[in-house]
Amino acid sequence: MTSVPVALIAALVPLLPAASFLLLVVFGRRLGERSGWVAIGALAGSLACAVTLLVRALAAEGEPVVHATFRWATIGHFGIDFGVYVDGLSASVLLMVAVVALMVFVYATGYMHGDSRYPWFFAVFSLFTCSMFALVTSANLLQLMVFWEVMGLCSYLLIGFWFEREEARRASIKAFLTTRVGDMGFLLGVVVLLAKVRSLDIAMLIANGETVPRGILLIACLLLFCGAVGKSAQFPLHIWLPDAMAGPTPVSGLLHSATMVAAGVFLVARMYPLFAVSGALPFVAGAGIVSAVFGASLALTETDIKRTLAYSTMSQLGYMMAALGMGGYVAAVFHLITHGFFKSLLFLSAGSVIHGAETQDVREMGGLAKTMKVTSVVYLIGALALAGIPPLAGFFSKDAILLSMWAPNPRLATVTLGRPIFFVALATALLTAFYMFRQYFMVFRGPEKRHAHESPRVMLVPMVVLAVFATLAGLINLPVVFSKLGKLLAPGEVETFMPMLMLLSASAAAMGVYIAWEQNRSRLQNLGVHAGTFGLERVYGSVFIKPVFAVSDFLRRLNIDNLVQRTVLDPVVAVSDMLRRMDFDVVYMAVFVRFTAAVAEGLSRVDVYVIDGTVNLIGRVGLRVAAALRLVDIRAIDGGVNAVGGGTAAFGGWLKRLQTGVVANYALFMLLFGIIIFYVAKGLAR
Amino acid sequence: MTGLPALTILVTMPLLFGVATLLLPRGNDQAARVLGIVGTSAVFVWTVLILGAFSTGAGGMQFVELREWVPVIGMTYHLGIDGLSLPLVFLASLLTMLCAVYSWRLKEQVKTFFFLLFLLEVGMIGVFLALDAVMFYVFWEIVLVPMFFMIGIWGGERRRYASVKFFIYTLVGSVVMLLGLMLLYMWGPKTFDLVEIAKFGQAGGFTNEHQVWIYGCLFLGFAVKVPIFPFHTWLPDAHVEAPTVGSVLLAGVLLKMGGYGFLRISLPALPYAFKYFSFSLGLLGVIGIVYGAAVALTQTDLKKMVAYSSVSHMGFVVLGIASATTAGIDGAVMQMFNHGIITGMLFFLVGMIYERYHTKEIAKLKGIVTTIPVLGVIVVFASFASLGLPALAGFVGEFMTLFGGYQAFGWVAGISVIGIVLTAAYFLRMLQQCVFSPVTEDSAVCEMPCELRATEFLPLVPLMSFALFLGLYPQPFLAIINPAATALAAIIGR
Repeated sequence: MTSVPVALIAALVPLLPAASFLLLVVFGRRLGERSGWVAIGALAGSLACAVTLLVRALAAEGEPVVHATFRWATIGHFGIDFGVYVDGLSASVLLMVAVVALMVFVYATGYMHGDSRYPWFFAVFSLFTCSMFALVTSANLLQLMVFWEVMGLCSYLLIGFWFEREEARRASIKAFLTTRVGDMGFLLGVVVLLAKVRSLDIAMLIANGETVPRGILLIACLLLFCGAVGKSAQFPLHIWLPDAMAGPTPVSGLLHSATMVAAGVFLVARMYPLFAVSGALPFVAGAGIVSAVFGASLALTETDIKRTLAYSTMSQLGYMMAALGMGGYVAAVFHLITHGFFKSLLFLSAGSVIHGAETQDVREMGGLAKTMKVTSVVYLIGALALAGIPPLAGFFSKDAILLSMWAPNPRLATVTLGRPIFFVALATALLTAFYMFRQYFMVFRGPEKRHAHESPRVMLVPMVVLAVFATLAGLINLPVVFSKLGKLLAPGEVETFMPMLMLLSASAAAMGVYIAWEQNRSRLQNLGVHAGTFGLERVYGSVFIKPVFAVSDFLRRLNIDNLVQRTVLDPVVAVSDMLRRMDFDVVYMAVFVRFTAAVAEGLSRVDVYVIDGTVNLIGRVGLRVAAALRLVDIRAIDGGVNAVGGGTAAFGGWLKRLQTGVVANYALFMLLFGIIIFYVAKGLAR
Repeated sequence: MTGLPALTILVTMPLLFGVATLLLPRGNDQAARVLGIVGTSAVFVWTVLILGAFSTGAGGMQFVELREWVPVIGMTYHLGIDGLSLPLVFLASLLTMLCAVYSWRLKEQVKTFFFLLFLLEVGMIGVFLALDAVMFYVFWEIVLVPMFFMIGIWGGERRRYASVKFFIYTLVGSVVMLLGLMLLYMWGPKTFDLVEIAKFGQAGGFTNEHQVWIYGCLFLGFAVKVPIFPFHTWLPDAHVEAPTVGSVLLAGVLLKMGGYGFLRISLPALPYAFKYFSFSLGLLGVIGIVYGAAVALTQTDLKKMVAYSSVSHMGFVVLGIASATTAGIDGAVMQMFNHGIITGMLFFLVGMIYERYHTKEIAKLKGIVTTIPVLGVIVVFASFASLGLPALAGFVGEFMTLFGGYQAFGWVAGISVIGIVLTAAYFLRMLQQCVFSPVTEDSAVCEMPCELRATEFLPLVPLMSFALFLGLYPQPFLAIINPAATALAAIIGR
């Protein structure tokens, strides 16, 4: 099974970007803007290796392609072996990451052009891809955690890349600390698993998970899941992701959409059999669906183009989590891959818009389709894919997720949750289509509000490539006819296929698009826009929407849209506005940050006043007693200090002044504390 | 190296160099500096040779030198090195050498300084090599004196207060510890040979009541040195006033003497008492981790913040030792070494910052990375190493001690993760304030050529390399410790 060349290929995937990182750290300044191409060269090598691995994985029919390790550390009696482990899951995710990363790198050579820290940017970018690759191919849970944290470091450095800006500095700290709270759960989960299973090898953990008492295994899995919640910006640790948009757009397009934030989903997928056995899946499903609907609602209230996409990412990752929770393992990974393509495409397009229009506020944009033709087309493709319009990639993966919720795997404990979660997910699909297209219309359609220019070709080409992937990626797992991914991830699993469900999910998406279009039209009418523009709108509407969605057209004629607007949309907007007003940041700030600061402040007072104060108090009391009783031992210690101090003429004088008080204080204090601790400890030991 | 008394040479070498420094003609500062660097480097090279000749897989003492010395009182001349002491000896000789390099530009009382540095090295290395209680005590006390003078002569404004506080705390601690060592002799096998005492103790020679009393006495001495909460208040004062080199060696090596004492004396000789107090000690470790980090969060002085971070980090050492599991002890030794490397680096950096900006106020320091990019980047690196970022050394020790703690004490050990989060918080806050924020009008100004000099940069290179290498691939290092840790854990039966 394991042959040396394959292990070497697998090892090269992370090692090539690692080499580029080292190269750029040392020679970055001399290379200047050539450093971008060094990083791209290394990454292209990784991509080639990833393709090879996927080909092998397809041939291996469910067996792992590589499992090669070396002894990294001996922890007590347990050996920790790091290495590479490539199976269908890692090979397919690896390829997606490599493609997206390569495109974003090329894009970034244009976007970051002229930045004073250009080589540093590509150095950290390389380190990031290295750790993402190493995470995906991890053979060991501890190894996965190591690279998980290194990604966190890269995220911190990249969000704060323009650290001259106050908001970037704040956002970088917030991101690191919020995810670290989740990571502490991860850390404890790893500790518990090592203690109970006596190994952290992923294959061993999965094979021996059932030997662990169910309750402890559940706790361990929930602790691991805490890490995933933090990393994948799931409720309630999602607060860092929108702020993370303060980083340069390529960073958002790579780390905070397609790759790093997906690591939480990947973790659950990687440890899936363990989660299934432990009974933690209902929690995963719950956290996922809450995040999905919550993120979509928050996206409705945003006017910043990137922050909308950030909330959308939170929502889509919630979708994947919910699918995993409902037993839709293949569906979740499928969506993870397609989402990677179209979400990074959307971010890169948004970056192009920001680049061209020089604002991030969608209210200041409009009519950009005229000046930014390519951007508007690829953005539309991304939006269609995200909304789940057939036959784009997002449609198939979203449909697979909905299917897994409608007909959950009967072997799992979550079956009873199936229907409610399904309907919430369906509603979320509608919301998703709505906010995406509302944004699309506001940015690219209508009257031109400001002058913009199209981005250079080096940025457009990667966007076009990603648009192709966003269009076609659904092909990797077409239901029934070509379910390659399903065979790769879960060979032998019986497939289900429900055409009615497809129609339903497509209709929900179409409805969302349609409502956005209607809303946009009435907005324009209210604004008294020229008929010409309006006519253009109508043309676009007929071209893009009407033929595809006869259903929604029919609904329009029935005048249901008003009904929908009043019964569905208005309440949702009201609720999300309320949530927004609740402002988690403020709550968290008050509850956690201020609380921690207050406790810390209190403890440091304890240090100064209580502990050191006790010294002085005891000293004063003690001195009185000592003076009265002329305690011999204190004299003796005094004498000792005196002798040492007096030996040096320079110190003799002041030492004499100090000795009488201070010596007694410390000596008595320490003895007293020693005695107290001694007896408390004796008590505890009993 | 066979046939030579390698350890005797190791411990007398710095003494000879120290005497040679004193004999230099008056006013010849340059010669003292050169001698300082050459001497400490020679000691380091000798340590590396010992490391090379050390057989990793074998348990037990190596390079043993055992002679009768004062048979009347049962005192022996007994030196030896094992997986427990080798990393710490290496750490001591490495840091001393780096301190000598860093002190190249020292102007006041150069000769005295290098003499004290050599004397300190004698004590530090001696403590880790001694296998006789009297020798252990003598070396322990030797360390105290040069450190007292370093703080007192080259220290900051409140140096007198700080040095006396340091001196009294540790002196009282060691006096009580001496009592414990004498009780080991009196109630024990009537010898000061620690190996004999350990055999005696494991054979059940001490009554349980005796063990508890001796343990209590030794605890006070070790606890002050580590320092274990609530005996830590001397540390921030001592660090703030100490000169850079003093802080580096104080945090880097001296604190480890306490942890080493627990493992070398208390655990092997007093297994009953060690087990008896195991939970309490672990609890104090956990309290120290969280408490130290919380107090560090409120500090406004950069050096004081690093000092409190030591209290927190040494809490992991205490937790690992208390667990008395193989993983815990492995981790404790690893953590001691890492803390020496990383905190040593941080204190060097604080020294460089202070020299340039003449302030250690976090609020006044701004934009270091834009003014002095190299320094800024290294501060970021050291901070992340210290906050336990995986792939850097600090994480490995923390993970192992936490794991050992969980094995022994269950969920109580888990509380310490609060400390890990707080540690990230105070380091990131500092980075945001001092390194990344833009320079403003009221911020401190760099008042000398800002770029790092070679004598400042050079000491950082090996420290950074170790912090990186041990994080990426700790196995070679752990292989040295593991046999010793396994043997110790077996005594307690964990």
